[in-house]
Amino acid sequence: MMEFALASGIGAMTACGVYLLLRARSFDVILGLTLLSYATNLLIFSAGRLAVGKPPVLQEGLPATLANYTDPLPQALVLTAIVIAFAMTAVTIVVAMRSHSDNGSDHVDTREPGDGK
Amino acid sequence: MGLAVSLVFVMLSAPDLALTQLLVEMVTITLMLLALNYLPPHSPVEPSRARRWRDGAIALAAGAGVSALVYAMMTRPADTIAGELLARSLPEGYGSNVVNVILVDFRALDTLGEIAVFGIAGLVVHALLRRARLRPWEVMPGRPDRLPMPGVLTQLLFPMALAVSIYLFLRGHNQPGGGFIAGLVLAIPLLLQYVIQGSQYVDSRLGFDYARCVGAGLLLAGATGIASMWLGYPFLTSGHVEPNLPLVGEVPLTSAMAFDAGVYLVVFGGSMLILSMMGGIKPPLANLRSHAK
Amino acid sequence: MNHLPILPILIPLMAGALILLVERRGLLPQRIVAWCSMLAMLWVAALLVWRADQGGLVVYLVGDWPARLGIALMVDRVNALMVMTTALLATASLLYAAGGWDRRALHFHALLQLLLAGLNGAYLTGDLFNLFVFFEVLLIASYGLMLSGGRGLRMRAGMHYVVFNIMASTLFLIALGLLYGMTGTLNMAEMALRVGAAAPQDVALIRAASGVLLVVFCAKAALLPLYLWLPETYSRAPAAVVALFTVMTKMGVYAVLRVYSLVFGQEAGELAGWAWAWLLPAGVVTLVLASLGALAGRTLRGTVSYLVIASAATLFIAFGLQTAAAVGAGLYYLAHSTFVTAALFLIVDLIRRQRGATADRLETAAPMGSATLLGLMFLVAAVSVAGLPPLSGFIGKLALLAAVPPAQVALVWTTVLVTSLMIVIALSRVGSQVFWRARTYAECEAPRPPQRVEVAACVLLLAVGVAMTVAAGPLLRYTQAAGAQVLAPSDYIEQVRSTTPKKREPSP
Repeated sequence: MMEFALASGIGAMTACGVYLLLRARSFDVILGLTLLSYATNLLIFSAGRLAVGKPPVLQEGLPATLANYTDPLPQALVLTAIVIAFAMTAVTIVVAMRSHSDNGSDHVDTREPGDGK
Repeated sequence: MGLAVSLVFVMLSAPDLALTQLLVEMVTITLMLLALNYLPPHSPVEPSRARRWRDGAIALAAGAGVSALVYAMMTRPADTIAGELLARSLPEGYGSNVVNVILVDFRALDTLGEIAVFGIAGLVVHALLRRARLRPWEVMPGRPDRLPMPGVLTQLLFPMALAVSIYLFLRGHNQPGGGFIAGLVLAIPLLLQYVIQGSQYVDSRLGFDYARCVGAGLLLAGATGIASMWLGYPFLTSGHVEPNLPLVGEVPLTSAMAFDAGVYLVVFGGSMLILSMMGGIKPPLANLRSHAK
Repeated sequence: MNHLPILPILIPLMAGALILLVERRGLLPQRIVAWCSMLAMLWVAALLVWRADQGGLVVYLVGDWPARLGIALMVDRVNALMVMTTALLATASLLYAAGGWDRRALHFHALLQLLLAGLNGAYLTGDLFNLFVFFEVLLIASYGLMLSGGRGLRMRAGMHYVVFNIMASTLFLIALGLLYGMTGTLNMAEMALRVGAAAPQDVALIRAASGVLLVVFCAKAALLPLYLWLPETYSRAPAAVVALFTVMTKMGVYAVLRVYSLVFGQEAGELAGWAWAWLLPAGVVTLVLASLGALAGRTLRGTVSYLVIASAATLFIAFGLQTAAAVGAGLYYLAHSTFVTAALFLIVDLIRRQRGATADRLETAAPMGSATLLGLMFLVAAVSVAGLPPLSGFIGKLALLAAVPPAQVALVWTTVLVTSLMIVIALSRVGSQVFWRARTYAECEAPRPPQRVEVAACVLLLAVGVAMTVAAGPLLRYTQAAGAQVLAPSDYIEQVRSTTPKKREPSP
């Protein structure tokens, strides 16, 4: 049941992210990429199979097996992915700002659809 | 949105992730707010309805596809290497926060690459914004406000933030925490200072060269790895000593902590590069002249 | 303890960090550190090639953890060749930038070193997530190099490039998540084993995940239909930087070769080699389209960009044939095409500067300064890239055509020969337009002649191409052996799993 909820959540975020990405305005593209990165992080995280209340911090007395703790590796991967995604977002935002300022338009192609060629 | 994701992480047994997501969320929102200042408030010409339907269809297809794949994967049993990682984390990695042990020991090369990405992002933002002159969408008339009360508060808070940051760093190997979280926890109050007091005030008092911070952090992380090469083991092999200090007693120290310190420096330097650059953008020369009149 | 495999990553990483510390002191200290790092890398690359040629796989366990738990580096003939190619290319790029670009672009030297660290890391790693991380390192460094010191239309092209690559990286993560969820490991050799042993109901899901991964790599390698980003980006990047970009395209092709011959290669049971059946026709179509693009090019840089796409497509054809000889020919062609297209970009930049306002549009212009020198270099490069005798392009294409199995002879021979003809026509058109059809206009200011370092960079790349021709025998033998090695993944799997850590317990 939990799996279904998470899977649909991921799917919904992906759909919103892709839709925003296909909009032409720079800011929408950035928002779309952020949503997609959340969805992707949750996807990697779910590769470890879901478990409630078993953080992978070893306690005294509990044997260190997968029965007592959840899979730590996807968590490490997601952490790396969050950091990298943040770095990319920062660069994208700044490039969008410069591009807008240099080219005078917020449209990703710097040409409004109403303009001629 | 990011807060919701954080809560999901907390519920599903991932405290380190929740903390990191929260902090990154804060910084991302700040960045977006600053960026919105320079991007126009109204949309360009709306695309046609046919195009919007097409985009919606593509989006729905993508979402459904991903959902199906994820659900299919989650419902299958897993046979992963995680069991072995959990078993070897404390005896050989000397840490009980297994996620942190993976990040700074088992897969330290990944983390080295990750901080390189973070540092490079800071450099790129610095290079793009250093001499740029961008026109803000709306300029508030008059001189910027001085905010004495919040200013004093943030100055008082800063040493506390430093202490919390160091605490999170030191305990990272055994409890949720670690270099990345600690670096962000230090950067955020400093960012507050920039926002409230203005970048010139803060720069003149702290005078850090953040690019050098990034370089120093990378060198420290690399040096930790090279140290093990000197001793005949592969790059980034972790070591462990327990010196007996006179009053304190036995202090367990791992070389992974030095690596984490490198991570800390790079994260701090990188985020400050990004955030301080955003704060210090100069208006175009035409604006300045018209204001001066 | 032989630390050779980690050095190509470590040297530029530390050099980049050091450069950040000395940036305050001016350009000269940065250049000194950069050149020391470059020379060290050339030396290490040569050692790596020599060591790889002795046969067998070199496995290096980072952190001294067994390969399935930690990250392992693998060195075979293929990635030793890639490391060497990149080192030579980077030397030329550094030389060219010394002509003035490194003063204008902030953080140029640091970014260049970090880009090299990312490239070498991606070549040498044996772990799929580590591949992702190093991809990101090299991508973000490339954003910096492309955009630093730029403005206007370069920013717009930069925005497209950045967004496109972030989308590809998102797909990469999705594929990684699915693959880890299905196979339970990230090490490529270990994954190969588990994919081969996968239960029948899991095969479809694993195939879907590997399909997503294939899309990612093909997007980076500019294969149909994902190549439209390349001409725009490469036409607008600074010259010293775009020379390095040519090897980044080959990075995508290398990733396909590595992942789809090791993880999804002969040992993969039901999934064995499924990708190559798609890649061969896709390569053929891309090659034709790229040659048409080169014929129709309206700018110099645009034409060369299409040549880059064409060379990547040829590589997909070569690797798609899946015989040792074909893969070997492909590897030789990979090195050759990287050097010659990079040289062309640099030469075209010099030409562009000489033509004043016409820049690199293919229109009639006033006669150029230094026409003889540039014309000669252009001629050598064009002959090489089109595959005309006697230069390396001819040898590469000949080796490829000779290696085609009888079943595909008709398709591959026709495609390669016809597209070569098209490229010859395209280049002669460009050459005559630029060098011969010049009319004298009213007097205008004489442009600055090319600097000696810039010419030196072009000459270096062309000289390497000529050296590849002269040393073709031993080189082809090396690449053939590389091809045979790559097509036998069971050796990799065995070698990686049997390498034991120095002081830690091996994995059961």
